[in-house]
Amino acid sequence: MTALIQVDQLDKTFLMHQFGEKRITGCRDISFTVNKGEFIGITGQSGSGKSTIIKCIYRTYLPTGGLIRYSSDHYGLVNLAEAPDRTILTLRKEEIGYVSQFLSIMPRMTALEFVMESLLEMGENGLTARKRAKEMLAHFNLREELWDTYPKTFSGGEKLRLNLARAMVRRSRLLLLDEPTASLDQASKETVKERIHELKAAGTTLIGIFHDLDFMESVVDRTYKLQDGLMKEAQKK
Amino acid sequence: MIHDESRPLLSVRHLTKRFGKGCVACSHPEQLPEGNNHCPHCGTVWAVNDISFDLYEGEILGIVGESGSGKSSLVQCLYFDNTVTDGSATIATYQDGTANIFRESSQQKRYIRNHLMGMVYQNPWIGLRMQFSSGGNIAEKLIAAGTFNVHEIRARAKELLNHVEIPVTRMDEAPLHFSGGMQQRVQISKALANHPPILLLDEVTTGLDLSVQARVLDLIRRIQRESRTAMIVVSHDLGVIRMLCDRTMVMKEGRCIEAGLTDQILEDPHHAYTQLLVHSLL
Repeated sequence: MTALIQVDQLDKTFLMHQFGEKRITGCRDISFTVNKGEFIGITGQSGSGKSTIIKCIYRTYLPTGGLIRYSSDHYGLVNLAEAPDRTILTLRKEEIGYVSQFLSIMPRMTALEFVMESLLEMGENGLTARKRAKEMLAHFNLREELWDTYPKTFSGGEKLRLNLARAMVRRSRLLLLDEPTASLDQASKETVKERIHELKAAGTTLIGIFHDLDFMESVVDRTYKLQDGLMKEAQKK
Repeated sequence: MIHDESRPLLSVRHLTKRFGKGCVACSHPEQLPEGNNHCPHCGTVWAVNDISFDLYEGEILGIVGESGSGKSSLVQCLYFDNTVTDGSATIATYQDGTANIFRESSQQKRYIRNHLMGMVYQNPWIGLRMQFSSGGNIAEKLIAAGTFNVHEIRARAKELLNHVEIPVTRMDEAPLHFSGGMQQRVQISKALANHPPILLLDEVTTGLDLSVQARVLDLIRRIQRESRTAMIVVSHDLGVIRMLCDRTMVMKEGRCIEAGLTDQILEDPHHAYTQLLVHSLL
């Protein structure tokens, strides 16, 4: 199997200037490998640094040390920990997706436009984007009467499903899931699971953090557990 | 001209703007005390101090900072409203990116202003002729760029006003009688009249109420999506920067103290001042 991502001795420390140069450890000396087409789950207690790892890979956090070797379609081997901002932006547009439990949307943008935008960014034409966005909203059971309205006033569950629709409508090479199913009901989780299987069948590699461990067990290939700052591979499924 | 996307459209290097004569003590502005852009000996203000950055086609670059950080002076230098003290800027589609636009003749600068750039000021009184009609304001920019056919000008003005959601029936009215948000949209339509590849937006949503602000932000996003215009958005409002910009530069006292991906600046700010800004965000 070929590695899509190799994380090697990843460190992230936050230096808080307003609090007497206090240092806060995000994660320390993290190493693991994700193969192409795999789905890796990361578990660990709250505050153990799971999200930090995901955010370092997406580069919302700038790693303090270590390497994140990513095998890109566009660039070949790239160290995401140090790649130029422009490279990261291209990768986000073309290859790497990220979804969290928080919805961030432009004012005056409808739910349908929000999902479409994800495809338009990748260069999809308007008609196809509209069609696929609608399919995805339907797949995630978002009521059709909501599609052309603004999501600010959606319920928590509707916002989450909209977020997932946007992230999962495109076939990313690598999809990072930062607790996107927290507080979803069982039926919605099933639709997420279905879409994950479709994406995997299409070749997407996934790394995910989940609140619900049973759900996670049912979708991942392997699990890494963060304990006492160390990353260990848990039992194989 | 076909432009290679991997090459920056606008490259700015060591841009410096000082107000005042300068003296021996501040002749090397990097020697000014940290946290100050004011020379204690001669009173010179180093408004923009050794700023370098690249702007690419189709991207929106954010410049954020408090009042007096030099962000407006910076875009005013780029639009030739201010003369620069030092530094260079090149545009890939002008003289094949070899000419420092700050050193061009005033005639060439006018050409660059009229054909390659658009500017939207925080204060519409600077960007618009308030007593002229809205259509007339747009015509002014078109005429400056060499369009003299009245029918063509009227047609383009209508198209632009439509685009910014100003009723065409009000084309012959003066912006003086418009609301603040409408004035800002007329300014944007004027700035876009000649399809400039570079658009400079200086605090365009400041002082507008929220629903009007949302409309202007929406318009800016639409312009970027439809025409791939490269933009520099100057704002003290991190919310505006977050919504619009992929990359952001943080300025303080004339210097660039931090630059990076916008989400990284907001979630993992490194400089003490950026941390203060982010933690002050509502």
